[in-house]
Amino acid sequence: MDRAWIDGQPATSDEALDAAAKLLADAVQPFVGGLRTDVAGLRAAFALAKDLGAIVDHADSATIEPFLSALRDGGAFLAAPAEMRRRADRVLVLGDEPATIGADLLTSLSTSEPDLGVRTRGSGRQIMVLGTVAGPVEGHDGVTRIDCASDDLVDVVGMVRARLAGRPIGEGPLGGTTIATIAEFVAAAGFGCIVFSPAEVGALGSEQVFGLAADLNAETRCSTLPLLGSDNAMGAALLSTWTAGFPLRLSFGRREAEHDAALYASDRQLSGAGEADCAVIVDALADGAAAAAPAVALPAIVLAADPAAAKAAQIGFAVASAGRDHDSILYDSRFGSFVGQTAQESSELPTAAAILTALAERLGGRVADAA
Amino acid sequence: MSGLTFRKKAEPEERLDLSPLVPARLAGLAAKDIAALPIGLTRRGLVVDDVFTIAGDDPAAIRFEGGSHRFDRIGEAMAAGDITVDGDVGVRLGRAMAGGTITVNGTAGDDAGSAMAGGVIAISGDAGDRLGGPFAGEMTGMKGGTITVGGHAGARAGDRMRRGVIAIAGDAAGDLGSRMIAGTIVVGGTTAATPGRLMKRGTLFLCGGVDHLAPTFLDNGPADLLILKVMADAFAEGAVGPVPFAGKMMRRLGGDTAVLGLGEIFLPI
Repeated sequence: MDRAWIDGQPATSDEALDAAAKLLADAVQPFVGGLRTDVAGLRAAFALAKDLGAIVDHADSATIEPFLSALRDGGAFLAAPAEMRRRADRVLVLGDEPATIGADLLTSLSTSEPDLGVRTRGSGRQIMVLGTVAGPVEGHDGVTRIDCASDDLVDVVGMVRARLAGRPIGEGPLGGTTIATIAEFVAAAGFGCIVFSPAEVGALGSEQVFGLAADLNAETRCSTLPLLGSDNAMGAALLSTWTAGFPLRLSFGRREAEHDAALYASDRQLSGAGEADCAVIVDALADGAAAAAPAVALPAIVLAADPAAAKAAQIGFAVASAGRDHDSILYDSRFGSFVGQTAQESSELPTAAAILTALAERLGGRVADAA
Repeated sequence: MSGLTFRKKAEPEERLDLSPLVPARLAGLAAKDIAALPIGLTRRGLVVDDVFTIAGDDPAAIRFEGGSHRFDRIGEAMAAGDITVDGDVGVRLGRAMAGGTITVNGTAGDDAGSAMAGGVIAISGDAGDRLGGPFAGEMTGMKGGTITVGGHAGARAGDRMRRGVIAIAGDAAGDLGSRMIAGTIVVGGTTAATPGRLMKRGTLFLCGGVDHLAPTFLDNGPADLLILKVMADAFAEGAVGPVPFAGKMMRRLGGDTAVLGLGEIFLPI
């Protein structure tokens, strides 16, 4: 079985590593992206990026950027799903995306009852959905849905906040009576929980939702469960923060990490609109849930679990899939933390971490000379 | 003495950090020392001499002949003096500046006037996103001074603005004046949805109308307020220049009642 390719032709790993090292040593501004791998792969990718002075981003970071931005700017009440399952007596679900990316969570909340805390134990659970679909919980006992378009959510949450604070409200997408119903629903909670997708409402909208939770905590208790489109991107952002001091989208061009969410975005760099002139792309997950891969306008070194993707690159390596072919540590939002995952299959393929580390070792001297 | 001039030799292949090229940091430096200042953002280590030809000797009046969307951080943290750019500039123009004047005869990238505290920035063309806003993780945006934009402004201009004036002659993109704490923004063209989201205080003059307003802004009716005339006269005499609402009745709306609700938006009648 072929494991490495140069311009689509099979090569030995050594030949491909040599070619990749030369490509990177000659580049002025390398980019290290994709980052769809486990913690070991991320560590190796960051070490390589630091050596190279590269720009770094995750393929799916656009889906978590609104959450990170709101969290950093205004703070947030955040909960873990397991805790909300046991504590929340009232759940407000905002928008249509939770029905798809949070289907398991909604089902779990609608089929359980709070059993912790004197305020909520034994009081049952009510779920209110503000959206055009309730997905898996449509028609369940204790579930009500109020029709609300995605585009109107941020306005509606603003109206609820104004209502709760006793400030006036103008004409909006929902009538005053409906707004009062929503406000009473969340205010009467012993422990409320708001489920939403930051990518659906945007950074400012997320701040509005976190603001509602903060307002409610003056009188009762309330927390939020933001649903992220990509757990893997969140894991990469966390690792980036403890490694470089910033969440994703940064550059090691001047050795010290510099953060800029717009300049160092993956799409901008890979499309050729940015400054990168060579890319290392890691796509080593089995789940196949990668966002539509952007057209890569740069010479690229691809480490992929899908051999076809590796073969199509200028220089490609077939690598093992994290969590399937080898034991891995991956971020899992169900736990709100990193979780170990045992391999389900055995594989002869090298890990992404092994290839990235071998590449960094080959480059060490040459990159230092160029600096 | 003639103004210190940086003449662009060729379009740079990488972004440049031009924050060292401000009056206070160049004062007293010989031409050869200025030529050796590092400005590159890659491991290649570009210096001033690689990109610019230097002429003149007065660092209090700096001129860039020829611009680029990769000329980042021009006038950062400057406290006095003048910088003129004949051409476009990159991101973070005049970020955290405290005084002096920056004139750009071209367009500016994102984060122009970010967290500035004083002085004047005049951009003849368009400005990017987050004009006069905070940089990632900062609690406040613009804290003083004046920004004028001859063209259009990108999303979230005046985000978390705390003091000062932004005047945009063209259109304003989404979420103008978001999370505003205080200060004044004047827009001559149309304003996209949704201005003033989460604003606590502050004043927006949206002279060309607005696409959509949040329902947490309430109409207070037409206002022929003396303060509007006083403000228009003061702007006309200062760095902002004549404003489109001078001598006109405006409709006043208060909000954002989702938060404190003490901000105001003025719309044409």
